[in-house]
Amino acid sequence: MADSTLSQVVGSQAMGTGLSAEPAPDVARGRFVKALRRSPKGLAGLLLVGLVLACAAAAPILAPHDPAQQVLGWRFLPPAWATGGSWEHILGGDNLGRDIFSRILVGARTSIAVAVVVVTLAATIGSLLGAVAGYAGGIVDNIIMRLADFLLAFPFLLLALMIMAILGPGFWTMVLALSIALWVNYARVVRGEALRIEQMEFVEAARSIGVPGWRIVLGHVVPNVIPSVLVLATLEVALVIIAEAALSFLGLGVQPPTPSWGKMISEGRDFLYDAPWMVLGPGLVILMTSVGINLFGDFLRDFIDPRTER
Amino acid sequence: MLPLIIKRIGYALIIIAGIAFVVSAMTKLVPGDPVDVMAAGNPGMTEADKARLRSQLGLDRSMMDQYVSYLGNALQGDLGTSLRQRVPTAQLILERLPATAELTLWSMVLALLVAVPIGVVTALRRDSPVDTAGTVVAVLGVSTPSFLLGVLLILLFSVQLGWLPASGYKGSVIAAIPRAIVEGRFDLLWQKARYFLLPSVSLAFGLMAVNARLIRSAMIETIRQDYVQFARAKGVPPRTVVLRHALRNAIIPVITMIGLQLGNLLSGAIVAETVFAWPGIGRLSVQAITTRDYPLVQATVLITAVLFVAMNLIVDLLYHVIDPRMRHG
Amino acid sequence: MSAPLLQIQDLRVEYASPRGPVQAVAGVSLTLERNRILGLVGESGCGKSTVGQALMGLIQSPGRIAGGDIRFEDKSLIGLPEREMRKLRGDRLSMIFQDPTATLNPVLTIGDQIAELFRWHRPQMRRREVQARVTALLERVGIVDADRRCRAYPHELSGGMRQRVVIACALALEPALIVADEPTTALDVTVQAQILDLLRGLQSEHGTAVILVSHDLGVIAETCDDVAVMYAGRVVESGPADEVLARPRHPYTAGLIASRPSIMAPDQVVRPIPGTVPDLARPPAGCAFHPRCRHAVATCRDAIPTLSAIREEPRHAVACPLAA
Repeated sequence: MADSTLSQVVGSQAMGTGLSAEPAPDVARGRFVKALRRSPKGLAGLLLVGLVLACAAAAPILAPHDPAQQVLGWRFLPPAWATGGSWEHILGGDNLGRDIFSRILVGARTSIAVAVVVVTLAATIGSLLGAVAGYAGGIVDNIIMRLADFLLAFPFLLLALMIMAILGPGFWTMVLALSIALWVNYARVVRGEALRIEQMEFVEAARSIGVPGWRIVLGHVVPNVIPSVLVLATLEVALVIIAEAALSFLGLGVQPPTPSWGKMISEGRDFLYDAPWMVLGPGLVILMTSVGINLFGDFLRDFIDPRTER
Repeated sequence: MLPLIIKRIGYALIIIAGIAFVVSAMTKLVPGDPVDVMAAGNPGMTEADKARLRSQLGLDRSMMDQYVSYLGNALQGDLGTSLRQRVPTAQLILERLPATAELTLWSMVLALLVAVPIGVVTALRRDSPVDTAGTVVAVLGVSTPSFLLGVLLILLFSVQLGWLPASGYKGSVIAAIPRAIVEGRFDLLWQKARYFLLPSVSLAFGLMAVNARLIRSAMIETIRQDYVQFARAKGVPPRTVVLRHALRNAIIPVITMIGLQLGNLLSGAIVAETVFAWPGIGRLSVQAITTRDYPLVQATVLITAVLFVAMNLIVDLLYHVIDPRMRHG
Repeated sequence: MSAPLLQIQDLRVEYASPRGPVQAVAGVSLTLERNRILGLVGESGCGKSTVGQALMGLIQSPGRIAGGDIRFEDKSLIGLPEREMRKLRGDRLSMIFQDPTATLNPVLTIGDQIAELFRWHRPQMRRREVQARVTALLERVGIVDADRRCRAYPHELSGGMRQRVVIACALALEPALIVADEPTTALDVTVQAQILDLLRGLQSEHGTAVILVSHDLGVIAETCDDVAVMYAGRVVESGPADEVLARPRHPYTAGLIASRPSIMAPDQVVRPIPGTVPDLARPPAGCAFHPRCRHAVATCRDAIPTLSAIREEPRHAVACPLAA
């Protein structure tokens, strides 16, 4: 009861000073859809990404075979359109006699799972730390930002690699390593926003009434940063997917028998003479996904901030 | 300008000290008993070995103690001994450093050599088919992971066409240049250079795309500037206007980015070296990690980090020399 | 009687824009004799800078010269191949831009930037000769210690000094015509006076013709022999500066003069011209000024008035049927 009066006061203060949180959700969504329809970049990106997502989601149903099943007769089976291939194994078989198509579909799940978990983790940790740093200021801010600068000094993959060097290979260490390497960008964005909001009058008003800091953070900082965080997240999903593929390629990420596109390419590399299709299938899919996300991310970036001349 | 240099160097040293700390404390950070993990990766370790290892790794000492002793040893050139290969890690690293260094260098050179003309042309011919083609290449460049490109290049040029070797390293090209000039035998250079070609291209492609975009937007911005118009008003021929007036200014942001990009190259090199079986530090690090060879991991991580920080420092200082506006603070 | 140095006839410059073609210059005719200073005055967007750029051949896509003729030294500049035009630029025709900070290339020394003119237009001159000329030029425009200053970068100089360097560039090859586009607008008031003095002195010394583009009537009054007032891409009044400014015939000119506060007459009522400049993509019908004009009548909307001489002052022309 007291809460609702409080939020009314804070809310009306916000209106009074003419600040905008964000425009009414319906209006924003309408604008977004319209811009999307007009952008070939955005549409192409969305299409590609949608395709991959659909495959991943439908993997259990779509996959004609068990990805882990090894059948001697399927070893180095060429893809359906080549001589010796069959339509039962559209993309052929690998060196252990596993169906490549099924592995690619299930691999999609791995990649997406890793990407989603990592980005969510990084976004959450980063946003929280950023909000705290921005709002608390002082030593806390200093420490967090120094840590961020330190981590930021290194390229993403290198950092992830170094963390994995310490923690050892494996799915969860990879997730952890990637998250640690990624949170910094979110922290910066959110901190910037927190600092901006902090200076606004209604925050002072709220504080003078005794609204606790965390409520202000949650109630005002968070809604304002969501668009920027979302754009960042979308762009970084591509980064994570490629990083996961690279780490798995190196043998450091996902461990067998879980299929991963990167691992498949690594396995295929040894058999380029015998079965080049082992590499082409997963390679093409990685490319598709990455291009799709980059295109869509570009479109998103233009939409949110059309000022940047490209 | 001197206080600036000192400040930068100081900051770099702090970063390196921090990394050294993390690296030295690495064994403590590993979940579980690191010695058991190492034993699992290295069959043939006796209990005595394990005990010795434990004290060697300083697992019985505090983090601070470990740090100090590690640092002390490192400054004397002792970075531990590889478990797998039983030789000093420093030696392994030194052996492999030139290969990585040269690969990085050639990749950067290649990337810039291609990026500059593409960037300039797409800027001058905005919104033309040339520009669209450039954009497509740029998107591909940014989206294609270097390991994938490397494997595809091998598939095309080694497997299908047989033109270039799929892996291996036959020595430094730079070191071979003097002899080639003296003896007039450039086929000697090619012997070595052909091994560099595919790995460099796989690394350079992404970098090239990024730089081409960078140069394009910098050029577009620069061309709009009054001083470019003024140069035209003076009757300076267009090619000179582009090169001397526009590009000279447009290249400044690119040079700022080079430090960042060298770092990306380094991390890309780790992957490329694995694809092409290149005997460099990158491949060494990966091997170290997979075999849980902790001393080697510590050493490679530290050295990679130091290299990285040093590179950035040099480029940073170089930037101050190139832009006259920066020279005066 | 020899042909005038410069004759612009019915010049039209168009810009393509998302809203359709914009007539930045919609039929401007001007004449300039040697050793005269012509002021081109008007508010932002009236097309005065565009005329200067068209003269120099600097109009680039999305703009283009859509019609008319520019005759310089009895040669037509329209349709002149770019290579020929380039030979003229900097040599017979030069330009001074508005913001000296933006005009000079930040990564080249000022000596280099002046020497560049000699390098391209007088390739046979030796380096030492060029260097001597550059130093002499810097001294002439009032930069002390020219020898050392040659090696300075633009950011080491003050705004006034930078503009002097630009003027040095404009004068280096002793051109017949200089287009000065708002040369003092970006400078402090005290520096403005110095630069104008410099310009006038050098002009009379060399007999150079100058087109001074400005929105500042004070600058025009002080410096120019003749003046042409522009509005919405057309010349609405032209003639000797003292006549036009003392006895303006066009309502716009009168309005411009009246809207300037004067230190000398503190009690004078300042009357701004009501309304705003028209959108050149959709100009008003007939006389472009009529929506803002106090004296407008119905016929003002029917036809675009042409510039015609006033009977009593034949060199003074005005584009207003009510004024002639």
